[in-house]
Order: sequence, then C-alpha cells, then structure tokens
Amino acid sequence: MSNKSKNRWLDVQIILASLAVTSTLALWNLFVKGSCPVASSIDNPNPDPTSTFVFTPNPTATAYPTATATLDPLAPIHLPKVHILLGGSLPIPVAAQPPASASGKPASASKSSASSSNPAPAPVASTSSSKP
Amino acid sequence: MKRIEYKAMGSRILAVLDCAASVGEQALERVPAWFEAWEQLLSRFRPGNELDRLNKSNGRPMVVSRTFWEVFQASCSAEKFTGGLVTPTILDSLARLGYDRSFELLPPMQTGHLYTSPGKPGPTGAIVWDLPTRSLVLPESVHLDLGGIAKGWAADRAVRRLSHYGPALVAAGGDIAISGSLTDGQAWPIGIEDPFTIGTHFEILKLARSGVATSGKDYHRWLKDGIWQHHIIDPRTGLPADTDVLAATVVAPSVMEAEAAAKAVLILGSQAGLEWLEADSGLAGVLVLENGTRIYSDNMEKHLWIN
Repeated sequence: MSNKSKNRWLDVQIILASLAVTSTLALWNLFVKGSCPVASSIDNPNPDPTSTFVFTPNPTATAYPTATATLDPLAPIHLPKVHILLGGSLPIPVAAQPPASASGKPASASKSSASSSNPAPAPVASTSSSKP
Repeated sequence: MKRIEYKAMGSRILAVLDCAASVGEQALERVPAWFEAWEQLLSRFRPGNELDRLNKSNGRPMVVSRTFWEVFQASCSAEKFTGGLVTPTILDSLARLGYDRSFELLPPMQTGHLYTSPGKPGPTGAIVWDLPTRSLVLPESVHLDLGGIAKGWAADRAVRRLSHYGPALVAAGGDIAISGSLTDGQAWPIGIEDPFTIGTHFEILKLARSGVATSGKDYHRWLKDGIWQHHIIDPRTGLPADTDVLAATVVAPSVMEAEAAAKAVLILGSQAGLEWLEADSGLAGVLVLENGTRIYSDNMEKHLWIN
C-alpha cells in the first residue's frame, strides 16, 4: 500500500471519530433535557414559595446585646492589683484622713483655708476645762 | 515679755506682762500673794474663812470684807446674766454629789448613801444684803460656793493691777483675762485646748481687751455610787447637767462674763446653748460636743487667728 492511501485512511478515521463524539454529545443533551426538571431561580416569574430562597429581614428576630458597658457610679471599681516595677521599691500609700471633727458652722471651713497662708503663732496661754 | 506660773485655787495660774522694765517683774512676783489672799477669803475648802463662816451663820447677819462683797455681787450678776443657770447657791448640791473637798483630795471611788431627792439650790434672791454696811443674811437652807466666779474675778482683778505696768494677761485655770493689745499692737494668741487630745490646741484665738473661759465636764469628774458625776450643776435639777456639750469656750468683754456664759452654754446643751449665745452680740464661742463635733457661733470667726 502506498503512503498516499495510508494518509487518506487516517483522515477518514479522524472524521468518523469527530462525528461519533459530536453525535454522542448531542444525544446526551437531548436525553438530559427530557428527564430532569427545570431548576427554579430568582428570575422565575412563578416561583414556588416552598422552594424559593428569598432574603427578608425578620422583624421579630432577637437582637444581640450591644457592647455598651454600664457603670454604676456607686459601685466600687475593682482594678486588678498589678504592680509594674521598673526598679526600686513600692511607693508608700498615702491615706487621706478625714478631719477629727466636723464643724457645725461654715466658719471653720473659711478659716482653715486662710490659716494655711498665715499660720498662727504659738499661743501665750491656753483655755481649757482641765484646770490644774 | 515676763511671766510667772504657779498653782493656786486648785488651778494653774499664769500671769504674763508685756513690760521690759524691772518694775514689771516685781509686779508679777506679787501675783501669788494676791491669789493666796483671795483664796483664803473665798475658797470653800479653807475652814474658818469668811465664806465658811457665812455658810455657818444660820440666818444671822454677817458683815463681809470688800473683796467678798465684790465677788458676791459678781456672782449675783452672773446669776442674773444667765437667767439663773449660774448661781453660787449650788454648794449643797455639790456636797450631796460627793464634791465636798478639793478635787485633788477626792478618792477615785467614793462610797456614800444614795440621794433620792437632790434638792434644787435656792436662788440668791433668798439672800438679804445691805450695801452700806456690807452685811449678808444667808438663810439656813442656802449655802454658797463662789468657785468659778471667784476664779474669774481673781483673774480680772489681777490683770487690772498688772495693767498699770503694761499689757497683761492672767489665766486662772481656763479663765483668762486680757487687759489689752500687746505693746506692738498685736493681739494675744490664745489656744483652745482640744478636750480629746490634752496638750494640743484645735483653735488659736486673737484677743485684745477681753476675757475668755472654757467650761467642761471632761476633767472634773468623780465616781459616786457607780455613777460618774461632774461639777457643772444644773440649778434646775440640782444634778450634774445632762448635756451633749463636752466643753464650751466663750469670748466675752470680761472674763467673769465669759466664765458664766461658758457654764450656761454647757448646761443648756448645744442647741439651746448656741441660741442663747448668739442672742448676745457681745458673746462668741465654740462648743465641742461629746461626739467630737465643733459648733461655732456666728461671730466667733472674728476672734479666730485667720489673718
């Protein structure tokens, strides 16, 4: 057999293979369309309510609690006792002491501020009920 | 500035004279003799003295010395000034309560019978006197104790005598008489002792010609029949004053007024006492209550060392 006849046979085989593949795909598509239901979509003019997924906000949905913190002004704030020391020793805490006694008149309040600017001298004498 | 300090009338006496001259020092040295003479006349703890004889006169007229007369009149004025709250006729009440000797001699625990009827002291109005002859008639049921008034009167009299030599101050216990400003024009700094912390002052006063006195139930206390007593007698009951005031300090034109007013305020208690104090514009004071609260009268601020 000559080379020319061999090439013509090969071309025929290629054409036949192409026709076989094309016909197979065509038939496959034909049978698939006939046996499967059509999937509905959002664009479907007659949607099935039982199968349609439509996002609608639910007004009765429970809201998540917000992250706003409410502080009770009377409640003590407990801070973690963390000491960050960069050297040295802990500072000595200074406790503010209330006055030993309260005054029933505003006179004591005004005098105390003025006294600090000009301290009174040492008394020459003192009065008390401790007579001796 | 010269000073002398010693003990008399059961109290610490302090006399200060703002005078550099030696005559001032000589005048100060005479102060103890003055007080001794007055104590001899006026103390209820000196048997046989003028007061003792008057208290034992049993209604008979008795001529008294000029000094005694002055102090008696001062005590009558104090009674009138305080509406009867301060009276010299409390001797029987004091004795019934166990204060029948000098306070230093009182035992820490004194036993005795219970008094069921304390007996109210009689007013000085029951005493009859005659000015020209300086004679007094003391009813049998009335006996005098000139204690507080006598101390104030002595401080007042001593400061008057010392003021001939310069600005002077005399303190007899808590009763202080001041003749006037210091020679440099400054006021005298006077401390008010804190009854809760002896030896410390909670206030410094600036005083010129005036008197200041403190009356309190914080020191003169004694135990009788298991009950604490104090020497501030309420004439309305004849018993130690039932009051919420622990100590009252009053500034007044004279030390005798200050002494009487301080005692009256203590007897009245904080509320009525402050009202009584503020009703008289010549008086100013501070009350220390038993719970530690201090109450100032409206016009007390001008006497405080704030400028």
